[in-house]
Amino acid sequence: MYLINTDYNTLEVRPEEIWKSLGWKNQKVSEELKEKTESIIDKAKHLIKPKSVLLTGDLVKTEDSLSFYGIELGGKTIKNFLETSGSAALMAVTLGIEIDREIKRLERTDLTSALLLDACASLLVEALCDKVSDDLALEMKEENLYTTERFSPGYSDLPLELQPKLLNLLDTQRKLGLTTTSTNLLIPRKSVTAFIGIMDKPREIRSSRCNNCILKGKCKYGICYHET
Amino acid sequence: MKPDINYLKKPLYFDGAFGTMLQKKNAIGLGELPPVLNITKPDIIREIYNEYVSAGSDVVTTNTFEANRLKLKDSGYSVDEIVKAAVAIANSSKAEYSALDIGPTGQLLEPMGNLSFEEAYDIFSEIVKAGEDQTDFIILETFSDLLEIKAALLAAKDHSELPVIASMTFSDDGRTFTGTDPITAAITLQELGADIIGVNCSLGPGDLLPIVKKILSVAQVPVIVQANAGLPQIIDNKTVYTITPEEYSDYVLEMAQNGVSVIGGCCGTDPDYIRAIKEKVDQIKIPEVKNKKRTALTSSTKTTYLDDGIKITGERLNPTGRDNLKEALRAQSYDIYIAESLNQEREGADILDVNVGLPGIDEAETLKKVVKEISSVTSLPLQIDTPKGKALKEALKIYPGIPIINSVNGSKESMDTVLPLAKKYGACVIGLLLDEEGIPKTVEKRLEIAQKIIDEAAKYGIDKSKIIFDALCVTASAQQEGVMVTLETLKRLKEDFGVLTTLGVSNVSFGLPERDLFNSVYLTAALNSGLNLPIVNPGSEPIKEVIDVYRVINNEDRESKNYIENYSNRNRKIITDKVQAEGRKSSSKDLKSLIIDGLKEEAISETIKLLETVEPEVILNDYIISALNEVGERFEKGEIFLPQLMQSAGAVQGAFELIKKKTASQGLNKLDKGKILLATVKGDIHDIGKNIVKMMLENYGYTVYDLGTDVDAETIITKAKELDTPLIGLSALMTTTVESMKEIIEKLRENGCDNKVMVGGAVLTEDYSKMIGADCYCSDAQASVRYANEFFSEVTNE
Repeated sequence: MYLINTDYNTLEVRPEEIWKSLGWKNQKVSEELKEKTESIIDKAKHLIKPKSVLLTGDLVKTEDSLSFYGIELGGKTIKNFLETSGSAALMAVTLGIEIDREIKRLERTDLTSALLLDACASLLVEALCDKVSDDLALEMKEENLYTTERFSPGYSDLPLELQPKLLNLLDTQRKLGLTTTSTNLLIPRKSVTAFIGIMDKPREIRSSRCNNCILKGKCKYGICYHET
Repeated sequence: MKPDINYLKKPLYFDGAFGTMLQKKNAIGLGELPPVLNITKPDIIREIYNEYVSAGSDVVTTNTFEANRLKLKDSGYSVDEIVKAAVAIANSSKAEYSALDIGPTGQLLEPMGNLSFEEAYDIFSEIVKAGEDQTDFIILETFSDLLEIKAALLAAKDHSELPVIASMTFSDDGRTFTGTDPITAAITLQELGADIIGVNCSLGPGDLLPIVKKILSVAQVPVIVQANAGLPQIIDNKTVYTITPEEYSDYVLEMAQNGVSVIGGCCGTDPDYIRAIKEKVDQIKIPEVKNKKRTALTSSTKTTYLDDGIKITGERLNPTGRDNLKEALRAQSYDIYIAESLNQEREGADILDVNVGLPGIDEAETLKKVVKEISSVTSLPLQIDTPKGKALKEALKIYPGIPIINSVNGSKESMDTVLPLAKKYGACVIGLLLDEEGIPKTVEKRLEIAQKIIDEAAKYGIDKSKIIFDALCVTASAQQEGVMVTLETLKRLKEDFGVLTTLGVSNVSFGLPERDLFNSVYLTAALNSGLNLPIVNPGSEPIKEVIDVYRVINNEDRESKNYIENYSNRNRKIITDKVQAEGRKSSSKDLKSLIIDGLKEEAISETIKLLETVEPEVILNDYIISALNEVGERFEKGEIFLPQLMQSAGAVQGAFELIKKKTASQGLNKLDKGKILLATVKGDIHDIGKNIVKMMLENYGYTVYDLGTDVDAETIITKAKELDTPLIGLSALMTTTVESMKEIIEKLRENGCDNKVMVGGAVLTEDYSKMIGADCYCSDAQASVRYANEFFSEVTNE
């Protein structure tokens, strides 16, 4: 099943969020920086062309493998992550190339603005992901199904090498203009691919593992699927 | 028999969707690679072709859309095997013609992505060579990057004689995903030699109509359309395209009535669509598309016509007489070129002349890099300014559009070198009115050279509308009697040949006082003599004024709209600026506080003031470094955060430039505290972090050579040796690319380089950086400054 959405112009980001992502700890901020940040947010909103694709399908599980539409999902963590999911959704989202270009331009003329715009765009793409995930969760709820958080290639031991296969599966070049580099980075830069598990019942949170986890302190999920 | 595509008496019908048909026949699963079916299920593919042929298709496209080496990498088959198999199936079908299908690589080209133009060209060449001898057309389709389709088009033209169809895909905002509009796409592709141009995939035929009409409005060659059957929708868990063959064919009929003569279908279409189209379109006579040929330049996002008014060519990307550009070229750090491009664009330039000529540098390599970078950030077309054939060729190749070549002259050698390149790359070319014997003194002799260039160009099929003649501006202080000859030449070029003209205006005043004044009067005279493309400094107010006024006089600025907008409140604006400037000067803060507060403009004014009385070195140490140290300390204590640190650093930049200028004018070079090489490592393209480090280091007086992103070990070793940089900074943001960092350090050591290496990037840790053999781990930009300071003070003390 595909969902193609282009109407995501309600994405919001606040100056404080941008600053926080750049290490702000409530230091006093000058009016100038405040204004600059606001104008950057405004600029970002005019430059982004949010697009997304979503594909749901059954997960095929064997003793030691997990696959989605014939694509083998390597690494242990994703297996734990999708342990109680019978099916999953694969999403790809992008803000488009124009914001990449503007960041590039600003890097040459006003590096502070470039940094702010880059941070702003990262938050916007995250917001776009949230929107897609939320929509999916709502839709699933109608069928009494539950969804997990997102899990992307490159996180923990899910290999980045999956990217081209996932993009191919979703036909993202044609649908979103989304491609990878030879080293599996997504272009446009402000893009994300991620799996979301679909479950019959909500899952318990297993946080006891965190203490010994290699991602301790770096984990952005707050919920653990990692093999200790 | 090859179809006579130039004089299509009747429409040519292509087939419809292939993927859709494979899915209908359950021949392929999602994510499977269709080209592999050429080997595993040839009969099904042939069956699909024959169904299309029964429905009316004249041409079937080979099942090779994804058959490039990047996509086939894990398939177990070679490009040659797959392509040959595909071509054989197409030819064994009942179709009259077959077209070798080539789609995009799946990667984006440099500099937005990291696939080089050369590799893309190579990938496409491989497909062309494998299939061209048994097919009737080559079709390049569903491209959204103008530079990538250019690579494919050149590969097709270079390796076959077949007619080439170049078709791009557009998004719902009317542009391709990389920002190219249909007119720019059409002009660029036909100038590059595409035999048929058009659009496929994208949207449904109704939504494509406006895009198709734009293409038809500039087309000089037949136009192809292969639309989707609407946007896919989900009905009962199945992907359904909602536009019926009936509706679809109505739209296609309208396109044909407007002149589209090559027709097929894309995603969601099947033989029923082709049948419905043929039924309707066969009933009509498709009108021949006739468009007046106009002289146009393109960048990847914009078309600039040269025949509808004065166009300003920005002259400032030229190292002649500009120390900071010379320095940038020697350091191979092109940020200032890019900043100057953007400045000139903002100031009103229409075209940017790009010149990197400097003794001792590799001009071909440099020009290629600079053109690549500039063309990715500006929407203006470029004028590639080099006397060297190799450099010209390299730059033309990777330029994503139709540029101007600056220049060809009347000498045989020049014409033999430049004109074939102009033809191949569809470029306009500046014709210099000189030859082996130098610059003729008389108008008549100059016109003879113009005639010679026009005649020679015609032999290559280059129309004189693509030649812009430079009447050759002479310096009034040296050759006063020649100034009028130039103006007279301009007039006669217009009268006798009706060609476009250009002139490097600023040369006239060399050696004279008040050059802006002189230039603007000369420019007025030249415009009046028929000058179309003045090469000037768009930042010069008097020059701008002349052009703004002239644009009213020659009826180009309609209803004086632009003029009124810019000049109505002018006096008031000048007064406000003055008040602000004075207010700034009376600022009670000293330079140090201004920097700490991150006030850039104020810091510049204050530096100008200080420089009148204080030695540059003192300003650097007592104000700038002292401020930076304080800010750095506050940053490390967490009293301020990164954007604030950077604002201070930004405030220093302007001040620093002034100080550098001053010391340079005194012939001193006391400010160089040491040389540092920076790079983002192979495989990684993140560069903001590295650029922040660079700015901070430069502010402390270090000379930083920035190699950019995606840099391999060999380049780093070569450059570190060549530039003699004792310290190297490496940046990597991904876990995967930290590996390249390790490799670079290993190779440096293997090569006996004892340069110190500092590393930084989000995924790095102190421990990890030790493990990969780095000398210092920098958790942030300030840390790199601290290490550089320590390192260079030790070096000095030794």
